[in-house]
Amino acid sequence: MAGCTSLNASMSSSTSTSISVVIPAFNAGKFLADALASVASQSVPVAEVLVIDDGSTDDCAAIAEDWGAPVRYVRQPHQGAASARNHGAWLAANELLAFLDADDVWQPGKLAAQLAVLDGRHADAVAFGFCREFSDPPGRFPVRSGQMAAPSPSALLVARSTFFRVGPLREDLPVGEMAEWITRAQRTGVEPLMVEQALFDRRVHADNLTRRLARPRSAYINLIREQRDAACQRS
Amino acid sequence: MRINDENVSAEEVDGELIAINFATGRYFAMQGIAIEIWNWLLAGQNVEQIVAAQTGRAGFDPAKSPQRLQAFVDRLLAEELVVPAASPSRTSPSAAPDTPWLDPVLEEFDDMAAMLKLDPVIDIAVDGWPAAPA
Repeated sequence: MAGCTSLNASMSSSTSTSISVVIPAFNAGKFLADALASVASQSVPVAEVLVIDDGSTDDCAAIAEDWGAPVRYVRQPHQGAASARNHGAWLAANELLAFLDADDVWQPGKLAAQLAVLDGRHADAVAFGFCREFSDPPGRFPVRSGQMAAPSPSALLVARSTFFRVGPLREDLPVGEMAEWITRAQRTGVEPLMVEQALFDRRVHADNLTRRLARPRSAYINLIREQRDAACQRS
Repeated sequence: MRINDENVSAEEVDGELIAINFATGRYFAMQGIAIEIWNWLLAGQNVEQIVAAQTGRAGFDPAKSPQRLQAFVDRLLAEELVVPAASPSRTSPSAAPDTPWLDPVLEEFDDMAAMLKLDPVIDIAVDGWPAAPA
C-alpha cells in the first residue's frame, strides 16, 4: 500500500517491547488500513500484529497481506469478535498482548502511556484507558463529546500469561464480554488500571450502529443478573 | 408515569426487577413491594391513588408509609428511571394484595457504569436511528 513503507519500518524497528497486537476484522476492509497505521505510529514499536479475519468477504485479506511484516494475516470461519480475539491471543508470541478493533484507531502514545502505568506489574495488573468518539463520515452520526472511560478491548494492554490466567474471553455473550472478563480478572487478583487520557478513537459508523441496534438491551440485564447470581453463590 | 425508555431498560425475572439507566451507567434492583409500586406507576397510578388503595393493608402505617412511598417514587424520578407520562391514567386503583406492606427498597449499583455508559445503547433511539447532531 502506498505510504506504508515508513510505517512498516517503524512497526518492525524493534522487538524489545515484545508486544503482540490482535486485530479482529470482519468485513472491515475500509477501516483496516487506518487501524494498522495507528499501530505503526506508536511511539513504542510492536513486535507482531495478528489480523484475525473472522470470515470476511471483503478485501480485508488483501489489505493485511499487502501490509507486510510484522503484520500476520490469519483467517477463521465467522465466529464473532470474541472468538477472533481469543484466537489471536492463542497465536500471539510475545509477552504483552494488546487488542484493537479494526474500526478503531489508537492514539500514537497509547502503548507508551500504558507501559508507564503498568510499570512492570504484568502479573497482577492490566491497563485500560479513555477513548473519544468520531463519526464516519464526519457529522453523520451522533457522537459523545469529550473522552470517556473505555473498559473495552481496544484499550486493553495485558501480559499474555495474565490474560490466560484469567481465562479467554467468553464467546457466548452477545454483549459485555470485556466487562465479564474484567470481573473475572478482579476475582483473580488482577487490578485494572485506567490511564486517564484518550488512548484510542472509536469510530461510529453505519455498520457498527446497525450491529448495536440488533443487540437486545435485555442482554445487559442478563449479564448483570448472571454477575449478581455468581456473587451470591460466592458469598 | 412511563419508563424512561430512551435510556432505561427494565426486566423482571424470578421476583427481582433490574433496571438499567444507560445514560448514567447505574443499575437498580427491586423486589417485592418495590416491584408492585413500579408496576402501579407504569399503569398510570399516582402516589395518592396508591396510598388510598393500600391504606388498611397489613403493615401499611398511615403515619410513615406514604412518606416512604413518596421518597421511593421521588428517587425513581431523580434517577430518571421513570418520567411523568403525557396523559393521565385511566386505570382503577389497585386493590391491596394479601401480603403485608414493607417499605420499598431501591438498591443501586455502579460497578459496571463504565461499560454500560460506553456500550452502545445510548446510541439507540426507540423509533430507530438517532438523529445526527445539528
